[in-house]
Amino acid sequence: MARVGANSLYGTVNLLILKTVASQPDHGLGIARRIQESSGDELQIEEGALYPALARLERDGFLTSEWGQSESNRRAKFYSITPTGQARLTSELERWVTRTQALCGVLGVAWTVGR
Amino acid sequence: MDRRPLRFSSGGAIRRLLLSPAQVRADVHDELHFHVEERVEELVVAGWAEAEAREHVLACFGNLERIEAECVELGLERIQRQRRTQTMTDLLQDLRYALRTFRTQPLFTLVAILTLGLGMGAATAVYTVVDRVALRDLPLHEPDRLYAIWETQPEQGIAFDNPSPPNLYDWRERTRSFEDLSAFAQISVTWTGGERPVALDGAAFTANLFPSLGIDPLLGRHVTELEERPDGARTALLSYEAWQDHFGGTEVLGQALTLNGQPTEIVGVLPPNLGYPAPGIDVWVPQLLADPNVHRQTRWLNVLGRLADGVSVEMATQEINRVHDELGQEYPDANGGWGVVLVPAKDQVVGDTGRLAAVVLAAVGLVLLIACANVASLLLGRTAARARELDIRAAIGASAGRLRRQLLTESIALGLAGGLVGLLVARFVLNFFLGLEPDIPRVGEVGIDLRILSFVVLGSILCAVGFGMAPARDAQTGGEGTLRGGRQSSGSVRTRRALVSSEVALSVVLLVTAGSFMVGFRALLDVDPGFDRSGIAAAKVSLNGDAYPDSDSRRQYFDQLTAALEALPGVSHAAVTSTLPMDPTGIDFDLARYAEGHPVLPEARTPQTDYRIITPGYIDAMGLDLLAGRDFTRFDRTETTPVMLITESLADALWPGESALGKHITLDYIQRRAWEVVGVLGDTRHVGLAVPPSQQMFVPLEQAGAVFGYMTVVVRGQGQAPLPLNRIRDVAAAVDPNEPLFQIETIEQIVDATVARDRLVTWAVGSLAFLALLLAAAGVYAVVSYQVTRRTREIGVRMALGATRERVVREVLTDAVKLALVGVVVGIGAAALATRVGQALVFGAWSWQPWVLVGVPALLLIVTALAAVAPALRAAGLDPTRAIRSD
Repeated sequence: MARVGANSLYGTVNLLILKTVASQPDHGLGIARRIQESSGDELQIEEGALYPALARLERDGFLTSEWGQSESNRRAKFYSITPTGQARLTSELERWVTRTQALCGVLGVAWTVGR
Repeated sequence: MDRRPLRFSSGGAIRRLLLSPAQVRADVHDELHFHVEERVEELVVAGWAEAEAREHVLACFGNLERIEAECVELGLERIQRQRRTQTMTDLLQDLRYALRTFRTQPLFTLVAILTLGLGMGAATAVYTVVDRVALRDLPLHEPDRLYAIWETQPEQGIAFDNPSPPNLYDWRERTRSFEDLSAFAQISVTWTGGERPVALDGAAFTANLFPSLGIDPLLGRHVTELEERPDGARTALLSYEAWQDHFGGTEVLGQALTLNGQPTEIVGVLPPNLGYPAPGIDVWVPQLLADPNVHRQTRWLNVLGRLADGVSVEMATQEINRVHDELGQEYPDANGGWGVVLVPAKDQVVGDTGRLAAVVLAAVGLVLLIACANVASLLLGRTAARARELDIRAAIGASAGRLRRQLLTESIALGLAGGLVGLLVARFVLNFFLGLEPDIPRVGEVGIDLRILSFVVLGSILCAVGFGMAPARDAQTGGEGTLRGGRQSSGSVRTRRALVSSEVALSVVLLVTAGSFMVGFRALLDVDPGFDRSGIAAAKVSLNGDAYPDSDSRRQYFDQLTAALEALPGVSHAAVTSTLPMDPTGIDFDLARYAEGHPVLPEARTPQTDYRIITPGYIDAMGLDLLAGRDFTRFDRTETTPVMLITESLADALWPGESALGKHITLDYIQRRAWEVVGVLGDTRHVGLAVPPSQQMFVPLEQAGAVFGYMTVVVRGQGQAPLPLNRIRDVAAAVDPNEPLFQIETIEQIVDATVARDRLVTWAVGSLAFLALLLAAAGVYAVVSYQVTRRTREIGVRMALGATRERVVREVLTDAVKLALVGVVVGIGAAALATRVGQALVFGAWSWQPWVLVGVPALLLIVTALAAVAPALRAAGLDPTRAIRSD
């Protein structure tokens, strides 16, 4: 399992967060857990990368937040994606796909895109 | 599992409330704290001990403080951005609201904007002109170090006389205070070699003139000192306008033109629109001091001095006067008793335009005040209605700050619109003004620049904001009163009435001023200059020095010319003179005169009198009064007794109580001769209509010691028939095709030109007074109308109780007139005060014309009554029952 910090896969952290929040609004811990789940335990975002990334995304208007109650009846800050964030997600995803395809070309790895 | 959060906050319905920095910090802390607690709980459930679990979780975080700090910083940035966006949104909303408000009150908006625009625009236009013409420094290199240098002769009352070339030479040799002493003098230059000879306005100058001023040629180079010398190469500089007009802007450098018969190489072209050292000069020739034998008394130069570094003007004045005293001792005949005075270059150029400019500036200042008063009054009138609306908005949640911002936005929008209208008005007025081609120094420098632009717009905004914020104050302080509806503070009505009265007062001041100007100007025009103004034309001739080298050849030419001109049908008289009255160009000088029966003084101390050369028939041509004796005839020739005509004032000064006929005046010019007075002429005003006549001596062309090549031809038409100006030119061409007549104009035009500036000021003040009257009338209308609206119910009650419609109309009108009366009384008082101050500034005599004192108040009362008619009729037309029910 790779611990994904702020420096590695730079920018992809934003992509992971946006995608996760887009499918369902969640609090920071929830987002981290779901990323780990969806990646089959391959990726675990460091807390030190997660929260600043969330703050940055909110500052730039891609995410919006509300205080709500978690399942454990604690007060938690829930993030949801904004229309601007949705557009950003789409464009970032496209760029990522293009970049990765190019990389695969260089590295001689075959790769198909699926959903 | 559905993780959608339960809505916790109450916000979101109307608008998000911004977080404070403390809240941001708390939020970040809580958020991170939540994560920690959840993870710890998770681990505890999985079997960890709490302390170890906590340790592990915190270790996973790494540096929690740092992360928290980073998130707080990002959070603060977030709220900053939100605040900015919110402000933008609010602003747009305010703007939309403001526009909507204006649309619902189109008349108010239109009048407010127009008033602001007219006031600001007029003020801007006037200020622009005054600033460029009178206030700004000259656009020269270090202009405060430049001085015009004049000779003075206090004993003879000569305050400013042109220095002579020998004096200039000696100053250059003997003084240290000046970095440069340069000079120029206007000459006429005839350019031959083209299709037909062209007469150019020329000037002779010293090579250091333009470098001293800091003016470099646009093309080519300066002239050199070598080219100043009589044996040096003949070169010249061309003005930009002459280059365009005569050469179409084509290659001209290095070309040789025949100027005054001499091939001259053009070595440079000067920058366009050059007003210094003198405007309107076509060609500059460096042959000013070429003649080494010039008499020390030939005072004809314009001298400019640039102070050397570290030298003050007092030091320089002292030194040059000391040198000049020495010269006075060395050359007592020429320089005895003469001194030197230095005039700052700016004063020299601007002259008395400054005073006239001050008057117009003051006038436009009054107009601006009136405009502002009007705008204030209009905005105050909205106060009541707005206050109610604002209170309602406050009641449903708008903060005081928000409301204030709304009003501010409205006021700024209004001010901005007014400013833009003002800019248009200013531009229009300036273009109109420049299109008149006024004869004012430095007028070429007038133009709108960024400073002026900002002045208009900012001023307009300030004005609108200053007055437009009143409703905000009212809304806050008078809250309880307004919501009750109907009853409003009568304070605003009182203020409005006071404003209108002040406007009327200011209008009175302006109208009285304008009236006095008009009376004064009319009086000026009515002044009898001593000669006829209509039906006479004049033209200049400048004979080529080579073609006509001596006085005899010139005499012959002028004889032929006058004879040919008199032979023209439609011409009754033709004559020649060395200088025409009221004509600033031409050779005009005075000579020391020794009158019979008076003690002989050294030349330098002998009184000097204007000396002019004329031909027989000049008196008839110009319509001068021959008070005694006779005119010159063709029998007065070189061989016969030298004869002279003098003016009345000279005769009275020299031989009071006696007849001047037969007396002699001795002149020492070229040769020393005694001239017999054979005729006395009525005084003529030579400088201007407002300048008293001077003493003058006339000698006949045939007998003059030296005949100049530069003379003015005068032609009088027969009866009422128009003068055949074109034929005059042809006749001259027939006499000598190489000597063109130029500057052909009528005496009427020449005299008009001398009063052009006064006419301009009179018109300017008059227009401003008219504008003030309009604005004041608008102000009266607005207030009276407002009062009628406010008292609708009351009027309805009174009409229901029996008051007739006529009574109502009368009351409204009377009230309006009372309002104006207060203003008129105050205005007359202020005008009286202003007269004291203004007495010194105005041309001619400012007298309290009775009809101005009666007419202006009457005019204002009539205009006021007219302005009040519409509201009065509206009041009379009210339906009493509806009126009573209105609110």
